[in-house]
Amino acid sequence: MSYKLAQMALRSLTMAMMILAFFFNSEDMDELTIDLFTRLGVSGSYSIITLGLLIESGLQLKSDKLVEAIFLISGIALSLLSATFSFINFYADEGFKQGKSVNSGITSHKCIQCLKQQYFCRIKLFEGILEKDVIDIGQLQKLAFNGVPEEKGLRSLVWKILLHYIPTEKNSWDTTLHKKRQLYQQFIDEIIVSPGGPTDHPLNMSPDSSWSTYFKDNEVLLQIDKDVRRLCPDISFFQSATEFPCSEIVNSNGVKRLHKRVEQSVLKYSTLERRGLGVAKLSNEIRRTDISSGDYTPLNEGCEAHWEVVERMLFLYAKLNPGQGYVQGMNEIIGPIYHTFACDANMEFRKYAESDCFFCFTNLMSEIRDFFIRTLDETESGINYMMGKLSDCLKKQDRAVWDRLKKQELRPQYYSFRWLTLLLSQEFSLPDVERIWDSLFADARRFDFLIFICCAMILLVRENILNGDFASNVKLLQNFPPMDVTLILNKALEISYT
Amino acid sequence: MAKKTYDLLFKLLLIGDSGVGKTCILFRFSDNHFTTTFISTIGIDFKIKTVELRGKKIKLQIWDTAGQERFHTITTSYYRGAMGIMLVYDITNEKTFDDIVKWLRNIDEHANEDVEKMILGNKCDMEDKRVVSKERGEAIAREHGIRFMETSAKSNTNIELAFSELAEAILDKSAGREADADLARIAVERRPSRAPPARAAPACCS
Ligand SMILES: Nc1nc2c(ncn2[C@@H]2O[C@H](COP(=O)(O)OP(=O)(O)O)[C@@H](O)[C@H]2O)c(=O)[nH]1
Ligand SMILES: [Mg+2]
Repeated sequence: MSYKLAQMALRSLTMAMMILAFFFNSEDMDELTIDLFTRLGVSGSYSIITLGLLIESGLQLKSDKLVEAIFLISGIALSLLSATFSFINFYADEGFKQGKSVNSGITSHKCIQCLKQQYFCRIKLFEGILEKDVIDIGQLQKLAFNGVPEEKGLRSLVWKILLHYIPTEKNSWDTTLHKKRQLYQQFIDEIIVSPGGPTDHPLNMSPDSSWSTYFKDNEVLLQIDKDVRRLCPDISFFQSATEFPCSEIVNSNGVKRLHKRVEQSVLKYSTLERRGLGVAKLSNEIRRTDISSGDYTPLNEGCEAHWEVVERMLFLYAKLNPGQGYVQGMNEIIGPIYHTFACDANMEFRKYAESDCFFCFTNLMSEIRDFFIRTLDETESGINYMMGKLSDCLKKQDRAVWDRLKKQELRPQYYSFRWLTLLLSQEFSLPDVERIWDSLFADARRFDFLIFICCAMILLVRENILNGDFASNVKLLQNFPPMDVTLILNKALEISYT
Repeated sequence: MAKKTYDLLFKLLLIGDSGVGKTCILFRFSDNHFTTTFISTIGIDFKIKTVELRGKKIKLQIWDTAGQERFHTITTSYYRGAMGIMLVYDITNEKTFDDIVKWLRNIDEHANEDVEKMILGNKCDMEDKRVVSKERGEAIAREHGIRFMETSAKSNTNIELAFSELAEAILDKSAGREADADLARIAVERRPSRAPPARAAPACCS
């Protein structure tokens, strides 16, 4: 009997928490407070539900009452705690609005402390897994799925493992890393530093002449160059100098810098295209060389901007994977990985961000490569298949929205082509992208969860879609409104359970 | 029911090599602003702008496409519905001009026969870096019987004009078609002779 009562109490508490969470979210408070509420509300209500379920099952099994009592008490304590926090914070905030900001600072501080503790717990959990001689990949995936802390270079390390670059056996880390990094250096030497440029006559247009290869390479390079100079323009990272430039290249008087090659090649290319002018004319045309676009200007001798590093990696990738070459959008895939690695707190890892990133990118591309290949669009690994999967998922989850989009002839290609190909990297800000990628990389069945996230995004704006016309709906989906990513990820998780 | 805020809806498409300034042109036209910091277009993007022409409110639905080969399957699927196509090259980049021919072939293959076309030589603010003369641009346009204009998204030269001229051409054509349709309704037997004269010229050149 008393259990029934307790259950009812728990249920109503859960309800109250939900209502509270909703109520507070609709207030316009500062972001931190909302964030706290959401976290507390959600974690509070989840733990209550879990405990409730546990107690219920305990009841059925008629197990000993002490355990139940403990569950009960802790459940209630937890919910009370969250509720108290919510209330204190709410009133503190009210007070703040009215100019009586007496203890708002203190309570916020307390909340932050509380969250910090939770955060440190997570870091400890990661460290626990990573300490083992053989890392349990399943455990790591499970933990990483809910986000990897950036602290202590954790994200950078965890991604390397999840992308199968670093093996799970810890004793082979050093040799693997050493070998790979040496290999990368070799790529740079052989493909970029050593070649002295084309050797045969420039007007030898046979397809295997060194000039012909040189021009083809430069065409690829030109495209890469355009794209890396417009990578994540909203943050300054890629325009800033790297701590670890490639010394053979940056001290070559500009000769070995890749973008220098395309600045000249545009001219040479056009001169040759216009046939008959010969190389004699080249010198006259050299004057229009510098392509300076905004802040993505090359740095001085001895220095190198991060975008130049990205340019180099992409060029090497294109050279080493001639069947695929460079496709626009690859810059958006390599960007977040490189950013994460180059910001590693661990200096030893930061130093090799470039080579490590190159191989992680290569591994990731081996999984999503087919999205970038036009002739594979229709295959089971191609992009059309993925878009079809998303459409099916949406149809199953929310028939009304699916019907609406169908009726408006708003095809999935209009928005989901980019979402899926770029793993959502153009839809959110960089920190959010990195958080989303934690889950994507931790997904053992890559990339099922990507489909769920995309579906969740649509469901979260369903009201707008149901009320909007074709144009406003395309706009909405092509410019997804800023939203708390945890909201999207939770929704995606919900979908994955159905 | 929702109130109609426009009289006509025109679907336009921007194509051309990557980096010629398509996204900037569209942004200049729709938001009257220029920024050098655009991320590369992947797949297809979309903007709306309503203009007024001859007392008619015309809603322009403009699709911006990615230039690279890989995206052709996805972008060519939009050609069919387009009523007007802007073909853009960069006056400071020879190759983008040479590729105009390739883009024209693409249009012939995938777009409606009576689609209105216009060639834009963009970045004309960079006179010191020009490699394609205005005459060459005009020549290729004349050769294919297409409108031509030099533009700059940066200095806001001819952008508005280009769009309104293209829209006007479509308006003329659709007015003609309405009249045609009326005629057809009156005299059904005359219908077979309708199609050929419209498209004879551009189809035969390569
Ligand atoms: N000087 C100048 N630069 C331009 C102009 N239009 C675009 N650009 C630059 O050209 C680059 C590519 O532009 P974008 O619109 O992204 O090209 P898209 O690939 O065709 O969409 C950007 O760096 C722009 O700043 C222009 O009219 N004048
Ligand atoms: Mg673009």
